[in-house]
This record gives sequence, C-alpha cells and structure tokens, in this order.
Amino acid sequence: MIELSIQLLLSIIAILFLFCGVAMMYLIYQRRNEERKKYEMEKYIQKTKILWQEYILEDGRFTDTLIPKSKIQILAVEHIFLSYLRNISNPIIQQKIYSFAQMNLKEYYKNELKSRNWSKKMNAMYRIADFHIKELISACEVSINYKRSIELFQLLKIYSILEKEKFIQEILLCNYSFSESGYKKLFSYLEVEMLQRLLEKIEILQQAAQYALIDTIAAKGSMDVIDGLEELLANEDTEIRIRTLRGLERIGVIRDLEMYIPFVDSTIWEERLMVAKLFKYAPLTYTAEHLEKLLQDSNWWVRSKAASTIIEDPRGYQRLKEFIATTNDQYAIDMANEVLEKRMRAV
Amino acid sequence: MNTLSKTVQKVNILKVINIIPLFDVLKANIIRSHMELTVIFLKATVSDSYQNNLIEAVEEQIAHFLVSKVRNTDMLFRLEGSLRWGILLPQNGEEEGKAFLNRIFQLVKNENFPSDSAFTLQGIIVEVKNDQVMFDDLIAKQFEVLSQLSEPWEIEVVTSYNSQPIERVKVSILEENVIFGEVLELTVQKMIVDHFQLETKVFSDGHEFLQSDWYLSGHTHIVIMNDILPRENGLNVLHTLRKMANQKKFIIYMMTNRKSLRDMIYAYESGVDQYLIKPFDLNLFQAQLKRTFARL
Amino acid sequence: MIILDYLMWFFGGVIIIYMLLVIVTYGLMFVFALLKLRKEYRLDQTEMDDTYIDAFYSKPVSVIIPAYNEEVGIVDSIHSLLSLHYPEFEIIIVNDGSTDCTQELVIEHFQMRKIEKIIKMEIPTDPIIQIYQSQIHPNCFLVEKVNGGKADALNVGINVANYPYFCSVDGDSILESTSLLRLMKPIALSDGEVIAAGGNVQIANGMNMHLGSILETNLSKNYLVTMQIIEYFRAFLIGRITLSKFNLVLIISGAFSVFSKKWVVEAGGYTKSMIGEDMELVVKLHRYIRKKKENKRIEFVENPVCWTEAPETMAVLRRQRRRWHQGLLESLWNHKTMTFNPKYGGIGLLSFPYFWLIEGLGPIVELGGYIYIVFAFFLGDIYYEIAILLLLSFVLYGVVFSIMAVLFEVWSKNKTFKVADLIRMMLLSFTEIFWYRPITLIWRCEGLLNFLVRRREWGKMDRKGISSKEQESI
Repeated sequence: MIELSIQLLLSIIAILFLFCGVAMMYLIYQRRNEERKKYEMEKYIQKTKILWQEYILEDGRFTDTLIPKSKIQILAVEHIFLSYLRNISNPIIQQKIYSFAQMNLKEYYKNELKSRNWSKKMNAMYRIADFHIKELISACEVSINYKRSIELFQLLKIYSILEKEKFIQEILLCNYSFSESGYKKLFSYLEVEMLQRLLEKIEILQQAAQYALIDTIAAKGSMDVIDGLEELLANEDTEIRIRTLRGLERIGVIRDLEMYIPFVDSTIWEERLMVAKLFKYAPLTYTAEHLEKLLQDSNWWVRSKAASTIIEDPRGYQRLKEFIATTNDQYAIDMANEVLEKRMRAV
Repeated sequence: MNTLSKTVQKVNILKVINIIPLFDVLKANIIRSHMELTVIFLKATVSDSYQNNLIEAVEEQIAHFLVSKVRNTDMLFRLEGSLRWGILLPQNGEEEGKAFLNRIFQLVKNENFPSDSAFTLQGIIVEVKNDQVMFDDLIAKQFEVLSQLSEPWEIEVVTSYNSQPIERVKVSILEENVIFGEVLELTVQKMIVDHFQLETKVFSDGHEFLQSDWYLSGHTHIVIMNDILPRENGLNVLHTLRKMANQKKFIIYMMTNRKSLRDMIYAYESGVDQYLIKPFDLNLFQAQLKRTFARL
Repeated sequence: MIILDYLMWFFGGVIIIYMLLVIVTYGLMFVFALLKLRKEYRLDQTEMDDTYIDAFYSKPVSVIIPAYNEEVGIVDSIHSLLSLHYPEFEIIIVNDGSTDCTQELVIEHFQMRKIEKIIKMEIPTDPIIQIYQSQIHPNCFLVEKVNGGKADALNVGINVANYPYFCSVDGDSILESTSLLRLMKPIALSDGEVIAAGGNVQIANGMNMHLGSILETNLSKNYLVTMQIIEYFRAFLIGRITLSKFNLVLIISGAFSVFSKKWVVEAGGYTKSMIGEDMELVVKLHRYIRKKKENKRIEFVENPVCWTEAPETMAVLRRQRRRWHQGLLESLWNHKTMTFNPKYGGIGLLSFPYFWLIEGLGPIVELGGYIYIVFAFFLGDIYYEIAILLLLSFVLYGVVFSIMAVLFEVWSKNKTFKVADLIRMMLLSFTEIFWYRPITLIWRCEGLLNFLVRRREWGKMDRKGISSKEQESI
C-alpha cells in the first residue's frame, strides 16, 4: 500500500511540476507579449495624439488614419478618449468623441459583449456607458446575466445615462437591490426634475434607493427641492428623516424654523445632532434657547455640534459666556469652554 | 467756501527735478508689479486783460486749489513756465486720468470766480505703459501738444507712450494623465493674449516640477495643477510655492475630481486662486485664464 | 521493539493523515482562489476607482498609525499616506512613548503644532499626553501618549478618530495611491454589511521607492527576504481569498486593514494585553456579530497592496515568528469556547478547527514529521518507505505549493517582473523544505512554548527603512 501511495504522490508531484513548468513558460511568454503590446500602444498614442488633438479640439478634418485597425489601437484610442472624457466637459468635444465611437467602435464592442470572458463583457459595458453608444443598448440587454447584480447595475447605469425614462420605469419596478452608493451613482446622472418625480414616489422605492435619492437630490438641487424634502420630515422611517435633515442642512436654507423645533426633543440623537447643525442657518436670537438645550444634551456629539453652531454666530461668544455663568450642567460647561478656547486661539 | 479768493502764502509744490527720480521708480514698477501710471499736464489760460502781477496771484490760487483736490496717492508738480502743472497718477490708467481731470475741470467751472481771476484750463493725459520713456520726452511732448490746444477746457489724450512691452509669462501644467496635460497645454497656447508671451511646460508629477528650477525665476507664473499628483501632491507643491519670498508671482489653479469641500476650503485658505472641478469646460477655463491675464 | 514499531506506525500514520489533510485543504483553497481571480483578471479597475474617488460616494476614513520607535521609516510612510487617492480621510499618528526621535521627526517634517481637543473615551485607554496638528496638512494629527503597547495605541487612535471608519497601518508600511480606495470598495459597495476588510501585505525590501511612489521593483538579494516573499504569497493569496469568500477570515493583517469604528467600539476595541491584537480583534468581532445575530462580513481584498518591511536577519525573524505564533495561540485559547461551537457558524465549525489544527498545532506535527523522517531513514526497511512518503508529501506541500503560489501571484498582479527574479524564486522554493521550513517550525514551536509559559514582548524589530531617503538622484 505504501508503495502505491509513493507512486501516487510521485506522479502527482511530477504532474504538478510539469504544470508549473508550463505555467512558467506561459507567464514569461505572456509577459513579453504584454510588454510588446504596451509598447506598441504607447507608440500608437504618440503617433496619433496630435491628430486627435486637432480633430477633437480644433476642427481638424476626419482622416482614416484616426480609425483604429487593431485591438491594440482600439485600446489606445479608448485610453485617449477616456483621458478627454474624464477631465473635460465641453459638449462639443464630448459629442465628437461619442460620434466617433458610435461609428467606428460599435462593432468591436458588439463582439466584446458576446465574449465568454466575463471581464471583457464588463469592460465593453463600461465603455458603452462612457461613450454613449445608444445602439448597443439592446445588445447589452441580451447578453447580460440578469442574476448577476453587478451586470444588472451596469445596465441600469447605461439606462440612467442614455435612456432616462426607461431608467425611471425600471427603478420604480423595484426588482433590484443595489447598495446605497450604487443607487447614488445611478441617480447622479439624472436631472433634478426627474429626481423630483422619483421623490414623489419615494415610498415605493427600496430602502437603500430611498436614502440614496434623498442624498442625491440634496446634493444636486437647491431651493427648488426644499418643498419635496420638507414633506419627508414627517416620514415614519427614522433614517429617512435623518437623511432629509442632513440634505436640508446641505442646502443651507431654513424657511420655516417651526418645522425643525420639534426635533430638538426627538428621542433619536442623530436627529438632535442634525438640527443642531441646521440651526446655524437661522439667527441666533431665535435658536439660542434650543441650542442651549442641546448643549446640555446627553449625547456628546450633540453637545459638541450645538456649541460649535452657537460660536459661529457673532453674538455666540457672548451668549456662551452667559450660559456658562448660569448653568449647572458640567458637561455643557466643559464643551462650551472648549469651543470658546478654540475660538480665542484662532483669533 | 471760495478757496480761490483767499490770499494765501506760497504753497510748496514739487519741481520737475524732484519728480524725475519718482517717475523713474514708478516707471520701473510698471513692468515689475503691473502697475499703471498716468501723467496729466495742465495749462491755465488767464484772460488777456491781466497784468503780470496778478498772474502770480492766480497761479498761487490755482496751485492751492490743485493741492487740495489732488489725492494723496498722486503727485503734483510745477513745470517750467508759468501756469503749468503736472500730476503723476500711479495706479491709474488713461480712463481714470480722464475722469479725474474732468472732475477737476467741473469743480473749477462750478466755483464762483471773482471776475478778476477767471481762467480756463486745458489738459493732456498721457498713460505710460513701458519703461523706456524718459521724463524729458514727456515734458517736450507736453510743450508740443499743449501749445496746439485751442479750445478752453479741452482735454487731449496722448497715446504715444502706451506701447506695452511683451511680458513673458510662464505657465506650468502639473497633471498625471499625459494626454490631458497636453490638451491643457494646447488650450493655453491657443489663447491670444495681448502683450503676453506664454511659455508652457507640462509636468507629470509634483516632484519633477519642484526639482526643476523652472519655477524659480521672477516671471509671473501661472500654475495649473491637479490636487493629487504622484510623488509630491498638489497641496505640498502649493505650500512650497506660497512659502517662497516672491510667491506673489504665482497664480495657482487647482483641479480636482475629489470634490471634498473641506479640502477645497483649506486649499483656498492656503493660497489657491481658482478651483477647477473635473470634468470642466475648456472654454470656461480659457475665459477664466484670460480674465486672469486682464487683471495683470 | 514491538513498542517502537507500534509507535513508529502510530506517529507515521498521524503525520501522514495530517499532511494529507493539509494538502487537500490548501489544494482546494488554491483552486478556488484561482477561479475567482481568473474571472476578474482583465477587468478595468479604474472604472471603480473613478467613481469612488468622488467624496459623495465614499465614506471618510481615519488612518491610524501606531508608532513605537519608527524613526527610520515614519516620515516616508506618512508621505505615502498623504498621497493617497482618497476623497476624505485623516491621518492620526499615535506615538506610543517612543524612545527615539520618532516624535521630533514627525513634528518637524510636518510642522505640527499643539492643539487642545476633548476626546471622547469610547474605549478605555492609557492617558494621552498631548495632541498635535500639522500646519501644512490639517488632516494630519500626532497623538503623544505613554507607552502602553500597540493595542492601546490603536485604541487611542480610535478615540481620537473623527470618522466612522478607521484604517490601521503600521509605522513602516507604505501604501500605494489607490490602496485605501480599493480596500474600502467592499465596504462602500455593501452598505454596511462588510464591517472590516484586510488588504494584501507584501514585502518591500529591495524596492526602490521615493516619496510614496514605487520606482522600481527589485528582488532583494537576501535569501531570507526572498523566502519570506514566497511565504507571503502563499499565505495571502491562497489562504485568505477563500476564507474571505465564506466569511471565515480570522486574521487580517494589522499592517493594513479597515474597520467600522462603531462595531469595534461595541466589541470592546483592541485587547491591551494580547500580542496578536489584530487577530484578537477579528475574532472578537466575529463573536460579537454572532451575538447580535447580524449578518455582517469581514473580507480580504487582494487587490490593494501595502508594502512592509520584512526582517533581514535570523534573529529578528525568529522573534517575529515566535511572537506571531504565540499571539495566534493566545487568541485561539482566549476564545476556545468557539471551537466546534455551532452557535458561531462557520467560524466555529470551520475556521477555528482549521486554525487550531493546521496553523496552531500544525508546527508540532510537521516538526515531528521531520524528526520522524530522520529516524525512519536510520531504522530502514519499511520505515524507509514511510520516510519517502512523508518526504514526498513535504515536497508537495512545500515546494510545489510555493512555486504555484509564486506563479499565481505573478499572473494575477499583472505587473512587470524580471525573468531572472522569477527563476530565482523558483529555485529557492526547491530549497525551502530543507532549511527555511524546519527553522521556522522550530521558532513557531518556541512560540508555542512561550504561549504555555506566557511571556510577551511587543516589537523590537530592527528597522532599516524601505525608501531611498536623502539621495534625491532619480
């Protein structure tokens, strides 16, 4: 039996060594290949970048030399295009790049979508989104695996960029569960009006999408979205309320102070924290008593924020000093003192 | 209050000899600090029916008037020959000089003159934009032009000395992505700005930039850089540049795609002049750059 | 003689079964890791980088560096952190009572100034002496405290940290610009399901670095270092990828890992008296997750790299390995009730047994194997064959897996490499089982003894510094 085992082990080892040997040869060969490809790509970029500059930035004529003819050249052109698109927002430049991609790179991406190599397929989808190649949307729909979340996400991203109505439709169907940052990314491509439309139907949306929507709309909109957001302050879901408060704070306008005062007594510390922040957009005379209440809050973060909000007002310094003299709450006094000290040092 | 009717003591006004060294200093600053300089020459014409001894009195009155109206950033001086004065206006251009002169004339016209000391003024405005002009040339020009003026209250603008020398300005682009760096370079080079000659250079990391001595010269230097750079990031470069003794020559544009508010605020506080959030519009960028040049 | 016979057969059997178990386990893990990486092999990573570089999508992170006598590499380390491509982060250096110039160097290089800050003591720690803030980089802080050990320093860092996530980095580690971004990716993508993530730690000795950017990768001439490099490849690539997928990770390297502050605080922070504080924390977190019956994960991400300095001499390496093994056993022992305990799911039923058997007590068995082989050779006859069998299994386990790990690493990283370096590593792998392996086994057994005797020491590693310092001749 031991004989057999030895034989077995020996053969396993031999096979594996052989495998390693082959793998090593392959790796070395592949590395050389990659180096060569990289070098060729660099060369091609050097050769054509001036032409591209002329074509894209100035009104250079379109010449056939610009059309990439091999895979390496296509990768080079991708690199050039992405360098432009990720840094420049001129509509004309973008349009030129999109048109070129649609005319000359479409076939390539179509083939890549059919590839069995998952990475290649994903990369193709990334580029379709980057280069706004509308005609390939149906090809994408066909070739993705609807069970794979990451592929689905990419498809929705493409909708969000290129077929916004369809995107809204799909999102409202709620068959998805992406992460919050995922939703944020998807929503980031929409205009404020569309986001407002979604906001009206926020109850239907998935939880992560709800939070993402609030954050995004607060980041993109300003006065125009305050109405919609303020309605959410009465929502049952705590996290929605907190996000809404945060969004409103980001916009930085208080129209009706009365709406926020109830939050001072909220049982949820994050809400108390957010109003402490929000109050900096109202004059101290109206908010001082509430802020002082928050300065005596049981939660350290709330106290800290209340103190820094007070000190930001020109009359805050004085007010804090008066407060220290009249209160018994040691924690509050500590916090107030720290903030006063910081202010004195900065001056 | 009628300042003209007061009999006053002789007032002290600079003479031409005193002014020449001042003029030379200001002239040098035109190039170095992008300062403007305008010279105004005034001639007063008194009605002929006057005797000479009254002319002196009038001259004193006008001198007093001018001294009171001239701003303390300007320098008043007396020229050879009677009833002629000059005013140096540093930091003012032609348009401001004209406005100033018009205001003076208006004030004089509005004052109620006693009939025995009525006079009219005429003036020329010369903006100096280069440092090749000698003060004597100005005096000579002044003579020539003022003698040709015929109408009372006439103002003539002399443009013989406003040729601006071409200033060499350096533009550095610090961007990791080589292609975009070159696009920026092209965008900058394509700009046509009067009186400026742009020298551009692209760097792909912060360290390379700081190791070169390209940024050490005294030229006005516009730096367009990304906040994240390999080897020495944007913030480090910013600090290094702003710590230099002649840091005023740097105008710094910072590009970012991180959009971290805190970092942007801090960068402004540390001396960034303008932020560009990627992706940005190149046309807008050009316009901003042009405006920067206009302010130089 | 019958007793000897019996003993030989018994031990032989045990050792062989153990080896088989190990080989099969490693083999499976390897295949699994291979499949996973193959799928994402050509994926364009910059796509994700691009999204998450925007502050809007990412979560802010506090980077904590516990430092004890790190004067050699600390400035370079901080420089590499300052160049991180990450939207919002702060750097907190905790000087754990260094006796060298660590503090002075940092204060001088980064123009630190004393500030007052009230800290909320979320985790009880030794007192803080003073906090400093850099005047040129306002997101960079230095905390001075009395010497209390690495765990305590980290806890102080956590208390000072402003952000919901913190990243622990060693004082001599250097990160690449996209490291933090890529490490945070699973956390950002998972909406809080992933509460901790560990990155890939690799050895930097011999690399030419300047101000945080890698200029050249040269394989170190030192055999000891090269062996460690191979070892790291094997450990990180094979072990951790598989464990991570099934949420069975028990160790994520303290040299480069990210945690959710909230969860760590609730789990009690780093344990002060433990040597392997990084492993201890992970085990505590798993335990706490189970207790709260939540569905959280701790992952290993092989993409982001942290470069660290490896010991170059036997003496230092010995201390390191001893300490690691001791720490491992301490943590396992501390939570021994989790072993085979179904209440702790996969961690209890799979991870713990694995770590006990193969990582923890394994060295004894393996060392036993070596001794056995020597014995068996002399005893001759049938034992001779058993010896051969064992030797072959060692070869399989040692040499073959090492070579495969190296090739795997080279393939997956897609970076340039010198053929000469590759061949050198291959050749060295052949020799591993004859010298490196037995020596490290002995050291690990020493660690085991120490564990039994309960001795402890923190880091007295000699530091050489990875980056080229004053020669700015590039």
